[in-house]
Amino acid sequence: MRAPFGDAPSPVHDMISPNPSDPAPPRLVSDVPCPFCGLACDDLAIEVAPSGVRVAANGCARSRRMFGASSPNGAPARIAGTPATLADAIAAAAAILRDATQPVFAGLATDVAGVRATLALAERLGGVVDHLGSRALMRNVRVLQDRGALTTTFAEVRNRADLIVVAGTDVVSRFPRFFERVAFGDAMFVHDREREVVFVGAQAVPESIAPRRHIRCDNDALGEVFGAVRALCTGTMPARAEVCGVPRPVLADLAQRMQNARYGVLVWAAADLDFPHADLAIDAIVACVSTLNERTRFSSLPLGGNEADVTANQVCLWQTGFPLRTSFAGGVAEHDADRYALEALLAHDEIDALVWISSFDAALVPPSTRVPTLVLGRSGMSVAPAPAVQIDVATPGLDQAGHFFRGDAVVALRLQRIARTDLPAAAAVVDRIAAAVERARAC
Amino acid sequence: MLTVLKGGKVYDPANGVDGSVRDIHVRDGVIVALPAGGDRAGAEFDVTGKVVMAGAIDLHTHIGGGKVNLARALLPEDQRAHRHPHTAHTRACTGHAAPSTFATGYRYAEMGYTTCFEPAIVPVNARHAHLEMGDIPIVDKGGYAMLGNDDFLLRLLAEDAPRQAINDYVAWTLDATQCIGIKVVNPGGISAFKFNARKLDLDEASPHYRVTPRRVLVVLARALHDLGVPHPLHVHGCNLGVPGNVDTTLATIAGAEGLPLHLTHVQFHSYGTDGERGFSSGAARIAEAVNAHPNISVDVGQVMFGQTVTASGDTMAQYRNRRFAHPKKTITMDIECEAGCGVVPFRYRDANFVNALQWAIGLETFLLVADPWRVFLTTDHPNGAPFTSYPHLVRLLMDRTFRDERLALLHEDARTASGLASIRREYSLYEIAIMTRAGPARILGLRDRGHLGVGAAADITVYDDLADREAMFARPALVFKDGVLVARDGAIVEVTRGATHTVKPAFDRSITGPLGAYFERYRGMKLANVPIDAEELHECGSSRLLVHECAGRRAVPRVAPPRP
Repeated sequence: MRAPFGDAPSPVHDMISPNPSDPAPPRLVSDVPCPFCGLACDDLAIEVAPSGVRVAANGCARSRRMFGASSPNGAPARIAGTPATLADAIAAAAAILRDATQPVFAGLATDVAGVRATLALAERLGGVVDHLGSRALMRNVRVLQDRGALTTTFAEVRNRADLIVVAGTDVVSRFPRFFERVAFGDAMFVHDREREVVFVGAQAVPESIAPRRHIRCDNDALGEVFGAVRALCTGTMPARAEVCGVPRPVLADLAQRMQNARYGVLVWAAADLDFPHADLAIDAIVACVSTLNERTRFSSLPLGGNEADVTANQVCLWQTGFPLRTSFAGGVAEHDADRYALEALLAHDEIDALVWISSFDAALVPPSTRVPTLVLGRSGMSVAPAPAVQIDVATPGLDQAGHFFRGDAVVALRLQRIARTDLPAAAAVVDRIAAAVERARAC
Repeated sequence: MLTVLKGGKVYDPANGVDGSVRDIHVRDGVIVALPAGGDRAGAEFDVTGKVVMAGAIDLHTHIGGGKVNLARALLPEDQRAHRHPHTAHTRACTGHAAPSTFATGYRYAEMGYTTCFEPAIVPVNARHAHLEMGDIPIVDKGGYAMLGNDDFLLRLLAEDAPRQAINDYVAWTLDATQCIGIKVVNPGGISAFKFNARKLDLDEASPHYRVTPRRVLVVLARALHDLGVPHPLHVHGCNLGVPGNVDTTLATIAGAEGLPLHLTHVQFHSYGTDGERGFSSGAARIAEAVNAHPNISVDVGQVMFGQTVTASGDTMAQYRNRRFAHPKKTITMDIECEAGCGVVPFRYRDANFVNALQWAIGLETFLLVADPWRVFLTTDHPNGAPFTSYPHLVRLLMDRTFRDERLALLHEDARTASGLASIRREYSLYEIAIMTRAGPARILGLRDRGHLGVGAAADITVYDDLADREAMFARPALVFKDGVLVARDGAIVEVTRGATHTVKPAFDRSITGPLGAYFERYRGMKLANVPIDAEELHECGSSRLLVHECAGRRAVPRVAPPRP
């Protein structure tokens, strides 16, 4: 329906050297949005030099590593490990997909255009779409489908939150600048000295956060703990001395603080709630937040967005009506969070082709499988054994412009093209594969 | 190529054409005069005996953006119950109350609609809204940016900022979000809810800012007037759904100081407290006020019976109504110091007194507002009902016998509480064409849409002239979008991409100084990353940007409507 925009010009074009081998002096690009975690900080300054790019200001360890990991132009396409032209690699990919009866499109770590292109091809072929972050994402999706949500966004947290309760995550491992940019900072309605952070769970608490409290429990006890907090808020708590090792007075103190907050926020990262039936713990957390709103304002903030999982889920929702883990078998969209998980489909030997898109992090490789695999990966990605086809693709926000959703699922950012590489956008590659499949089918 | 539609009965109120037989000529997507000489038509459609109107325009339909996607996420059952496989022309699509983007475009085009306006774009969510609307095929789109609960404006009001600064901020918002109008939702109330206020009346000072909703309304309405933006302030007033809110709505009309206001889904704001149940129709009082105030226009937000989902920026009202959710699950979201979002699934039941009376109040409003140029056909999709119920609604308005039959099925007390049975009016095809074409185009400032005169875009709908108006309006014989035949007999035959309608009022760009400092200091975002430019809009999926003139409101209709 539309041209992919991997080759769209960006505002920084004129500022940087058109040829990576041209020894032009480094240029500084400011206000750069970062696509390497769900915070999508947009204040980075990036130095662009012929040898590569470097975060010059406002980065974190993660963004410095991810921006810096770029090799200027990637490797040639490979067919079964042997270098090939892009055209031949696309033809080989199309041949595999043409004959596939149950292809799966997974990884899906790409921008809006990449997801659009992939959904179109998956629908054409009766395939399944999944994302490498779905296992975590589905914990939140299930609760949303069953109970709903009371959520907030980053700027509301920064400007209003006087109490932040962090459940089961240290936050910073996945979202390095959360406390600097979201939990603290200049605010309209609260001073930093009024803010309080309470960690609940088995996480290591970042030393930099002070003052802080830490209520220790196993992460798989978080459902019981917040169920108890809710019961304390409603006065229906049974006479128990402790809940999962947390003494009643500690819980009562937490319940009191949460009720006394003017604008409290309960933060979790579904990826860190990695235990069976974690959705039930999240459900208990959301129920607790819901109860608190009967008297004060309290919101939840489920953190995500890394590897563009929120981006992929948003596009999948608006185009198919369903979240990720959706099948197009028979040309009809059908969602099942268990059945259409890549790992389940592989375990049950139900698929005969895998398309793996991972354009942000070269370390996120496809699962090892005998199923013919087509990899659209960030340059520098090493997959063993060699997949049937591997094509290096542009990283949105680095080698190509694109759209990316922040982890609070409200703010979409336009990523910039910073480095002028010749890597193709994932959307463009998928569109070319789709065209080749159509031609092959017409023969 | 020249295309001609021969022999149709043309209803084109903007040009005073009321059912006379005319040929329509189209070239390059535009309606042209009968070519002189031997210019032969490349395509000829014999539409003898059929009804020809411009493509319909929906000026208030929640079709794209954060809240719609939240509604889809909340209701997989709505998607599962309505699934259609892909065809040679169309993508797979799903959903009824919260249809997928593809379903939205196809269903609208199949019904003869060619332009739709998303009325609640939170500015910071505009990029998402345009991405989503870019995936709605065929129809043109436009949006209204939500202001009036954003902390930047409330700060300006609290510090008595000069009128010029407010106007510049409003214009910057329209420009940055690529919107055609401004909507205010529960003015100040969404912000107040974040401070834990649960209600805010028209003249009540808001928490923290001490600004009244009335002041927010007047300031925004005046700003749009000053800027020459054609569409008046699009108002979702205070106290949505609260019995007695008819008085708030009347006070809002009286307090407009003569400035143009568009009161949206006014049905939800027309409730009295009479009767033993404390819930009554205020439609007659509202209609009387609308009839007396030419600066006021309304769309109805008609309720239809069945399952739907309500999605609104009015978190204060949606949180209050969460107990009525069916099924029992809701979403409440505070958004980025700008607005909020509440999603509450709902099932309107004809056996329920309140729901039945809501249905009647909507119809009373349609039938008692005298001027069809100032009342528009909406269900506030999906809040009153999905837009696919429009053909049924048209029949209710055009066919009194049918309306009375439906009325007889309602909750008995609602029937007696409503004056609907005594209203004899039936809408004519001419009046339907006003309220679904010429009227919306006029009030939005779309000079080349909503009519069939020379120079208009060739958005044309051809109906079989059936006695059953519901069947007639559900499946038009032919639908042309920019001259391309996109639907035939209610089925899509070609898929195109729609344009985006906007306005670009002039303003002083120095407003980006204080605004940029505010974004940097409090919002944690760089202002440079906020605006959407024309090129990006194209990436979002829009075929082109159509910028409409900011020359103020268009004059009263060139042709007076016939007496009902």
